[in-house]
Amino acid sequence: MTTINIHKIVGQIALGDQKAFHDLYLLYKDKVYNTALGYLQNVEDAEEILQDVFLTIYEKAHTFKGDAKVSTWIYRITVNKSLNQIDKRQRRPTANNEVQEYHKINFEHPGILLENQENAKLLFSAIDTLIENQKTAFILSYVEGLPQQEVSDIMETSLKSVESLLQRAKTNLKKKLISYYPEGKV
Amino acid sequence: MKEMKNKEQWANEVLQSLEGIQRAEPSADLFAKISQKLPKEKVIKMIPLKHLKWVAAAACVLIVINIFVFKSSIQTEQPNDYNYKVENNLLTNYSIYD
Repeated sequence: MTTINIHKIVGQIALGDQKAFHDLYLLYKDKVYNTALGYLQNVEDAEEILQDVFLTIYEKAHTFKGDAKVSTWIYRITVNKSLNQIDKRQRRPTANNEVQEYHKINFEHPGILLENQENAKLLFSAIDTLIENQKTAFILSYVEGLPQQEVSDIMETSLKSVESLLQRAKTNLKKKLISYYPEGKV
Repeated sequence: MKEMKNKEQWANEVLQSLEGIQRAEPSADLFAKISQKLPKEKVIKMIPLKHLKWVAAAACVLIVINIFVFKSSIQTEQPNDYNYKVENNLLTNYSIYD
């Protein structure tokens, strides 16, 4: 689908067109869901974010400025909502947090190849310890597989900043992973 | 030393575990849930054309007033030739009884 067509769809949503809204949902649901899953590492929470993002798209379609790509706008909403959800989660009572922590350590991303599942569990646990902007750069680049230019557009920063954020994220992840190294492993 | 090398190698392997990752799909019934939460009638915030006309007219009046004030201020700033000469003579000729 061309950029003009997608912009047209958003324009129709702004006028309350539900069919256009369904079309946009089909185009972006997986992207939104996977991004949210990368941050929250929990299927229920990611589905909640997915619903929330599309409700926001429906309500705010009239505010969309045509100078940005629709995908950039949608990713930005998703990233903000996911980060807000993480903030809310951290403010919840301790008992709830313990349950969340347990799920996070044992989080199995449904899209990971079977032979990589065990390693990916550790990697997602390490990703969760990164600071916000490093986490965003890493998830958008390596979980979502977006080109660095699009990541910089979403994060509203320069390409160089994204490169440096990714470099620092990898260094920090490596340090964290080394601390997870299983004792007695040869 | 060797242990550190092993740890680093293992960490690199773990870092590559995202290779070949596929996109996961959300539950099929999610769109129905979203649709239920949509407002029955979308409130479209639009400025009526009638209001825009008034805004445009007000802007025109302001522009005209500004041009008028600007022009008149330029005219008052420029000294006319006669006044300028008299002023100059007064300043240069101090022999008041001539």
